[in-house]
Order: sequence, then C-alpha cells, then structure tokens
Amino acid sequence: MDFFLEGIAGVFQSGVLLAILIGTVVATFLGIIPVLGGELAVTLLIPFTIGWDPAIALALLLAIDAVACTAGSITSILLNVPGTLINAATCIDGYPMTQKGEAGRACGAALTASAVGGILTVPLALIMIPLLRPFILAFKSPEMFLLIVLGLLFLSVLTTRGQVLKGIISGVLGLLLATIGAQAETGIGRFTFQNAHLYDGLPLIILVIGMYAVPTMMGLYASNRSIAPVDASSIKDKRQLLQGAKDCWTYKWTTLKSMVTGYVVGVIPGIGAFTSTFLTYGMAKRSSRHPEEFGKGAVEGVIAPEAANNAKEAGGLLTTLAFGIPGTGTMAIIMAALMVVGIQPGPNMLTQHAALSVTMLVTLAVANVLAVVVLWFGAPYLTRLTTIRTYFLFAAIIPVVVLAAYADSNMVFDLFLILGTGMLGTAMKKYGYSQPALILGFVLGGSLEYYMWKCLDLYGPTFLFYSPISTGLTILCVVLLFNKQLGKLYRRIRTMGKAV
Amino acid sequence: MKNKKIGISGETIFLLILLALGIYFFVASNVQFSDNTYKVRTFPLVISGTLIVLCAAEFITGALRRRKESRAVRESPEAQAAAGAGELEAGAEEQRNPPPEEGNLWFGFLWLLGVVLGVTVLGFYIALPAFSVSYLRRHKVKWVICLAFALVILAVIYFGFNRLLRVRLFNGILFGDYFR
Repeated sequence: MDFFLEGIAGVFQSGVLLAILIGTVVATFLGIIPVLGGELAVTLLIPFTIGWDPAIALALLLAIDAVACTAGSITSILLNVPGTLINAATCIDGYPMTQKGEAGRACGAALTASAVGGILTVPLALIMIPLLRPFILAFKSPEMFLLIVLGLLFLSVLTTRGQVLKGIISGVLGLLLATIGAQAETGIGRFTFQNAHLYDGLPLIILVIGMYAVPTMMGLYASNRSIAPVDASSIKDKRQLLQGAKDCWTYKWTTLKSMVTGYVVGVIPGIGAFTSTFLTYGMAKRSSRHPEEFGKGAVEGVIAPEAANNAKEAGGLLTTLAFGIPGTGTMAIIMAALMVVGIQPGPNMLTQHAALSVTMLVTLAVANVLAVVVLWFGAPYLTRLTTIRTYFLFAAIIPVVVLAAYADSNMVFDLFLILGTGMLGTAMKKYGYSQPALILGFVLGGSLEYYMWKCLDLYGPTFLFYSPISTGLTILCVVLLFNKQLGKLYRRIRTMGKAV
Repeated sequence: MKNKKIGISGETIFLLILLALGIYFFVASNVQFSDNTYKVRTFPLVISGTLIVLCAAEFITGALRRRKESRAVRESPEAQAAAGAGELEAGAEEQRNPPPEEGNLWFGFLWLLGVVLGVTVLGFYIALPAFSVSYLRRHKVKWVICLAFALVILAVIYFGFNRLLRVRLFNGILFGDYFR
C-alpha cells in the first residue's frame, strides 16, 4: 500500500508536475500539426532525457504520448486531417459534424470522451495488475491470429451503405499493399523493385498522409473556399461544447464500452492502437439505433474512437511495465526510454520500481486532465483555421505535410510515395471507396500473414480450436461473418416455434 | 463525370487500374517467387486473386446496375419524365452552386509534384518558401503577405524542424546532397 501512496505523491512533485505541463503543451501543438504526432517528438526527445531523474523524464515523455492523440482529434474534426495516426477514425464522423455546423459539439464530445478514457482506465490498470498476468500469458499465436481476423471482419462496417463491395475491395487492397517488403518469416523482399527502402514495407505514415491529408488538401484546392462556410464559429459556442460533453453521458454505454475495449486492446500486445479506434467505431455503429447516420456526422462516431484511443494508453503502459511487452507502437518507444534512463521493464518492475510504476500510470491521468483543460479553452481559437481562405491553408499545410512525411524516415523517396498514395486516396474518396478500410487492411495484413504461418507451423490446420479462448474467438468470428443469416435463421426458428 | 470521347467513366477507369494492380501482383507472385518457398508467394497470391474476383464482381454489378437503370428510363414514360426533371433540377443546382471541377482536383497534384521536385533539386529551405510565394501570388495575394508567409515557413523549417526536432533536412541535389 505504501508504494501506491508514494507513487501518487511522486506525481505531485514540482519537477514532475512541470514536466507533465510542458509535455501537455508541447503535445497539444504537435498533435494539432497534421500527422506529426507525439511519437516523433517522444523519439527525438529520448536522447535529451539521459541523466534526468527517471520520474521527470518519463513524465515528460508519457505526457506527450498520452496527450498528442487528444489534440489530434481537433484537426480531425475541423480539417479532416488526423493530427496523429490513431485519430483517423475520428475524421469519419467528426468532419461531417463540422460541415453541419456542429464543430463545437464534436470537439466537446471528443474531449470529454478522451478525458473519460484517459482517466478512468488508470485505476482500472492499477487494480488489474495482479489479475493480468495469467490472461496475457494465455494469449498465444492462434488467439492473436483470431483477434486480427476479428478486426478484419469489421471492414464491412467501415463502408458506407450500398458500397459494401467497394469497402471490401479497399480492405483487400490494404492487405495487398501490406505484402510489399520483406516476408516476415523468410526475409525475402516482395514487390520492392530492388529499392532498399521498400524492403521494410510501405511506410504506414506515408499511406495515412496519402489517404487522408492529400485528398483533403486537393479537395480544398478544388473548392477554393473556406472549409466550413456554414457555421465555423460553432466551436466557440460553449453550449455546443457542453452539449458534446452531455452526449458522452447520453451515450454512456458507448463511451464505457469503447473505453474498456480500447483498454483491453492496449493491454494485448501487438494489436495496436489503430485497431482499437476502428474496432470501437464499428462496435458503436453496430449497436447504434441510427447506424445510417454514421459517416454523416453521428456524435457516437466521435465518442467511440476518442474514448478508445486514450484508454489504450493505460493498458499499453501496464503491459509494457509488467511484462516488458509493448502493448502499442508508441509503448515500444516508451520502453526504449525506460531502458535509456536505466530501468528494465518486466515483472521486476512491479517489485523494484513499484512506486515509479504507479507514478507513471497516474501521470497519464493528470496529463489527460491538463490536456482537456488546455484544449477546452484553446480549441475555440483553432476555428480560425476553418474560416480562412483555402489557398492560405493549402500554402501552409502542404509544406507541413511534406516535412512530416520526410521527418519520419529522412528519405526524399517518401515524398514521391506521397504523390502515389495521395492520388490513390483522392481517387478512392472520389469514387466511394473506403480509405479507413484500406488502412485497417494494411495495418493488419503483415501480422495476419505472420501469425497464419506461425499457427500452421506450430499447431497445424486445427489451430482455430487450439484452446477455449481460440475456440470462443472462432465462434465469435463466424457469428459476426454470418450474423444476418443467423438472425434470419433465429427468427425463422422462433416463428416456427410459435406456430407449433 | 464521363469521358465524352471514349464513353468510359472515371470510376470505371479507376476500377480497371485496381484490376490491373491485382493482376500484376498475381502474376508477379507466380513468376518472381517461383523458385522461393511457398510461404513467400501464397499470401500475395490469395489476396491478389481475391482482389481480381472482387473487382470483376464490382465491374459486372456496376454494368448491370447501369443497364437496369437505363432500361427503366427507356421503358417507363414516368421515369423518363422524372429523369428529365432531375436533369433540369441538377442543372439549376449546378448553376447555383458549381461543384469543384474534376480537372481542378487533379491539377492540385501538379503543385504537389512541383513541391516534391523542388525539394529534390533545391532542398527544403528554398523549395517550400518558393512554393508558398508562387502559390499565393497565383491567387493575387499581396507581395508583402506572400513574403511574410514565406518567412514564417522558413522559420518553422529552421527552428522547428532543424534546431528543435533535429531533423536533418535535405539540401537538394543541386547543392550536393545525395538522393535517398
């Protein structure tokens, strides 16, 4: 119990609090710059934190990591440009809300859902520590494979009504693009055209910029007007912000379900934060009373991914600390940061550095509170972005997008890839194909192939029924795949039963 | 929007490009990796095969849908009248709110291509401010504002990316940097 109190007290030291505040402000600005995000900042800041007090260094890095996705939701909503990769799902309904003149409501909902997801999962993580170990250890390759398949089954949910086939084509195209680069098991390069850079695969950040930022910029270029000419000032309306906050209460089950799902996805290593946002979006659409409104500005479509993307941080950090396994991509960087400051993550972490572990988890909650306060008052001023003429935005954002694409790998070649992926994304947007489905297919493609071969090698073709968990997941996949047919069958059996 | 000369819509052309992409991956998986283990080619083969089938299905369903719609319009006088009224309404709507021109949309890529080529040849420090000035001047923005805008872009590149984030920015082939 002492280490809990010591850990909580550790957060309220002046140095740690200052680090959290600086991290929050830095992440707020970085999160707002399209696709730059906190990951790059954390990576570049690690070398500067050598020799610092671990609590202060880790507080700074964790605050940046935790808050960037909250700030990124603002540009997703206002500009249809995801501030960070994991904000892509927020664009689907956030931007249509801005176009409808409900930017304030969308931002209020996003900030409240982010706060709920970021804060409530911290006690959950603290309580879960002793319960987690057997659960994580039970997840082997078959369960991982089936979780990925489960994610892919939500492809059809990410499509607009009447365009299901186009949505599936988009997802399959994503899977196909994921085959570019070295095959995980053999290391043989595929479709690389002898280019060493493509050996690591098509960079995810380039694909996301191409799918979201470039089509938006080209749309701005063609329209030659402001983004939200109808009611761009609605975000300044405090009533709209409060309405967004109230929406989180109205859709409390969506918020809580998304929070828990995001947390669980964060806990399970290798699934990735990206999946959690699309997974929860799909779940929200499926359980909604008005699924037809999704994609046209449904507030639930903003709440679900935002609650999930902040919730995954506590889950990811817990797995990283307790087992030395990074739950998400950014947690791999945090794990590297832990090692740089001289701390080895793993089971010993919870005994030798128990207080620091608690400090790190509580840091996430404090950073989320600060982020919401900063953005609640600061976000209204960002609406000016939506009222200025598009040629100013085009002239300002194209250089930032080009710089962000370059900064990821320091390769000029990536700028040419942006052109190709941007044209693909623009054509997909124009002809009704699903960009999120392509991204989801791309993200899951590599892991799908890796785990498929691993399962077949280790367990043979019956790996789907290897354990009770894998059997349960297989049944869940079948139910999801054939839910309409099963529903019809169920109704037929019920009517037959009534007739009898 | 239909290409009036050859009568193929942009959507069909895009679908054909996707189909060609699927066929390329399918053939390349078979030809390039025929000497390698089955693990290298099976996954892309299955996925590209699926893409080909799905594209063909979309092509056929799209063609059938269009045929059905045109037959319905031909056979029913009410549908013809409705279609005529719809066209008139759409024409009036287009006059009130002209949609973004398709040509304009793709013309934006020429600017992006210009930026990418500019960065490759001249580097970030020259290409990006030059892009801002030339783009804003094209929209008849005052020279003073254009130059101030370019200075802000230069400051962000230098202080934000070079000094603060320590990104090693490309200086351009013309100034001795190697393409990578």
